[in-house]
Amino acid sequence: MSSSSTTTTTTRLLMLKASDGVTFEVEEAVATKLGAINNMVEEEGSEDLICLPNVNGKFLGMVLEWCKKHANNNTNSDKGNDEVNKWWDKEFVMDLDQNTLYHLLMAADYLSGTELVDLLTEKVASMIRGKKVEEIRETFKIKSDFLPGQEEEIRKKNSWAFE
Amino acid sequence: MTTIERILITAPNAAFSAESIAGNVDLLTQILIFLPIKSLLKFKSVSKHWLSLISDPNFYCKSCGNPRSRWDTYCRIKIYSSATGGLWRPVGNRFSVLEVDKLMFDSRVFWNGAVYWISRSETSLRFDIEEELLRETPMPLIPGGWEPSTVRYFGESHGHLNMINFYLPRRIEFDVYEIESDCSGWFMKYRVDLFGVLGAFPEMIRSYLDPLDMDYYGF
Repeated sequence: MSSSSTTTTTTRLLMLKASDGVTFEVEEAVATKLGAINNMVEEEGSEDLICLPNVNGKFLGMVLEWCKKHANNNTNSDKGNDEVNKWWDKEFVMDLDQNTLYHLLMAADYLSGTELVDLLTEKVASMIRGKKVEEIRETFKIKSDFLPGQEEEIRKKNSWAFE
Repeated sequence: MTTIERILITAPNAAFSAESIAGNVDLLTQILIFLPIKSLLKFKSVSKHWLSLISDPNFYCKSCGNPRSRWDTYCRIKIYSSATGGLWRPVGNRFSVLEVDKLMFDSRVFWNGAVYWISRSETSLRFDIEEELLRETPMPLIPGGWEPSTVRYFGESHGHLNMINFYLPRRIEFDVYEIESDCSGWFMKYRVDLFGVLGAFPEMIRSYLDPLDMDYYGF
């Protein structure tokens, strides 16, 4: 993994190991975009290797790619950064299929990547907002546990939302 | 050299799926915060859990406090006319678009006295300039078993409004639609199948995926 040339200060490198053994060498400034990594680094100071058994290499790679972009954009301190980040975020989530999106979201949540969780939950919302109740149940494997008649009553109360 | 190794352990390793997301109250709440009110009211009938989450007064506080909440995504049409002294005059009321990110505001065509937009959802919008009214137009029905891919053309041709749609999984076939004269919907004018042409012009098949149109076929 090549380091960015925008900063001249020497940055410490961290090794992150995914559940499938894939390792990533990442600049500290990039990895600490993730709350969980940041906490570990602050508490202990000098880990050589951080094992992340709840995320595999594919999704860890994607999360780190996102962190890297945001870390790089934030080192350039001009006003356009927000716009650049927004544009890049849009690109990042645009073509994610449902399965990848859910895996990424779980990975971001596990690593406490708050900003990334925000971005991904918003994407999930945009995908489900127009769905029918039955489709929501199917997507999230939820069984209706209402008593007979109860569901009907709730639907009636909110009938305009079903138009 | 000794290596210090640390392991990040949180909740037990759950099966990563949509199921586990819906079971994670924090994540689910955060997803719901981004939904418009209409969707929320509808989703109250998903299950008891969803009903209690959405009905919780704290949920509304969280939602209002979140700057990224979509609750106030409204659109408003303004008309510019040199006759009104170069001002943008707002027309009608603000309206909320349920699937605002599916509506492609960038793809618009002025045809027959109205501005037409296309959408990735089942209905799109048109704005009648004379009447200053916003109306819904259904999008063409997606053929059974196919998935929508891209709208490759949307425009006026010989006085008609046409649209060319590609579908997945087979990209060598596409449909040409024309809007009904009463604007009530689209009908399929042609279904074009270029499969036979491939034999004569094999160079149409690319060995790579063109990033511009995400397609293996060059035509």
